[in-house]
Amino acid sequence: MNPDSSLVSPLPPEIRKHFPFPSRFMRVNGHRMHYVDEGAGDPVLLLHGNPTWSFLYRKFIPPLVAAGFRVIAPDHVGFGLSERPAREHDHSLENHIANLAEFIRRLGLHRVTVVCQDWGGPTGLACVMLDPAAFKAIVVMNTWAWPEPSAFHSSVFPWRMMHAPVVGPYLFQRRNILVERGLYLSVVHRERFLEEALPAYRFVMQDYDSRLLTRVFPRLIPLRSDDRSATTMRWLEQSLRGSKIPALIVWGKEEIVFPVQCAQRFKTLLPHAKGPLWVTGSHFLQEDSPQEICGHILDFLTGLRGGSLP
Amino acid sequence: MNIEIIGAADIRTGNYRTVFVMTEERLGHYAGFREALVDAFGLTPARADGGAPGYFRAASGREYEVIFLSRSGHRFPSGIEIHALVPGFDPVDADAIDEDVWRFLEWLIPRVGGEWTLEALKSTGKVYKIPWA
Repeated sequence: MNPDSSLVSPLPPEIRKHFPFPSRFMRVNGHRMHYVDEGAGDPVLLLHGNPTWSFLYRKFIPPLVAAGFRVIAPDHVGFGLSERPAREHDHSLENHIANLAEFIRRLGLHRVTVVCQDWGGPTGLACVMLDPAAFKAIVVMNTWAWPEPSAFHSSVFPWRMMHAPVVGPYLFQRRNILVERGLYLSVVHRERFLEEALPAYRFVMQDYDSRLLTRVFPRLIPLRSDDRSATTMRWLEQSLRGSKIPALIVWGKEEIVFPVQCAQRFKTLLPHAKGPLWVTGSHFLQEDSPQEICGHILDFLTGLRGGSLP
Repeated sequence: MNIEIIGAADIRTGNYRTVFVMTEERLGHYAGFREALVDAFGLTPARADGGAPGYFRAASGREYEVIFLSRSGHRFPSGIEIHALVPGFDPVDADAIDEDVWRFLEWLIPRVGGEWTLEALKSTGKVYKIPWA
């Protein structure tokens, strides 16, 4: 265990019963970062996006641990049980990549498989490109790695209006729309989500200040070539294009944020990748098809080992 | 809608305290929003030097203070804070404030204009279950 890790249980029992993993904390680039670290073996790093946290992967952790992997699921700084920097200017794509890279470095991880969705993609894949020797494989799900926005992200209604100046703080922070409504609209199995998962996402977004990153991340998605993040996203795409890292593409059949063209674009970037494999799932496909996705990941990793799990 | 820009001398709320509502740190994230506020509140270069806040009165009668923020490297105002003027030690009615601020957004968006339409704001509000949309 990392020397500055600590074990606490900050979650109430009704959430802990769905997420029974010890919470660990590490100070990364001056920020307190929460993570789960279970099992032993080659690491599988599970990376979430906006507005979720490691809870999103609660059903991935037991089967991956049982299959002989060390499973690590951090909360990005600004989300979940990690520290919430209070100012918009604290957040940039580059800072989030640097935080994750330092987290991986301080844990001394090698032979890592990155499983990423939404903002877990640009942050996690950037870490892979920064230090390819530390990584074994990538699994990309409902994400992107290039500077051009999807049609959803280009449209005024609803996406750009949601985080427009003055509108954004109102909708995301005062009204908490991404947690209270956006998550619900972006899963297929909605009743199950409301009962089992929504309380956990609400729990970590109870206050105005705690919701800051939910509105800042949308503003970091580049729309034009000179926008913030565009240079980093261009570098990421160019780096991935030359990469031979084993890859699996898993995509939600009902995904609208990153539609089918995004899965195909990953296949063009990484022609050796397995997939796309289509599962029942909207944007938060981990909520909709965790067992099926884990099956695909384990099949993929078994294939890399020549037919046997570690 | 019915948002009225008022001066400090027009404030009716007596013996008020200011209560933070929200802050926007990147007014220039999309073009047009800063200019709309500059026009509406009559911000001139002279006011860029610690000038008075702006004020508005909602249809509810509640009044609000708008603080204009400045940040090196960004045009003034780089952001705003909105504060409610709450009489004395009265409790804060967060839902009533949220309704007023929604009306402020309905007032602001047509002033930004272009692709930013009231219809798009209301449609977004309806999708996300804003009660006043």
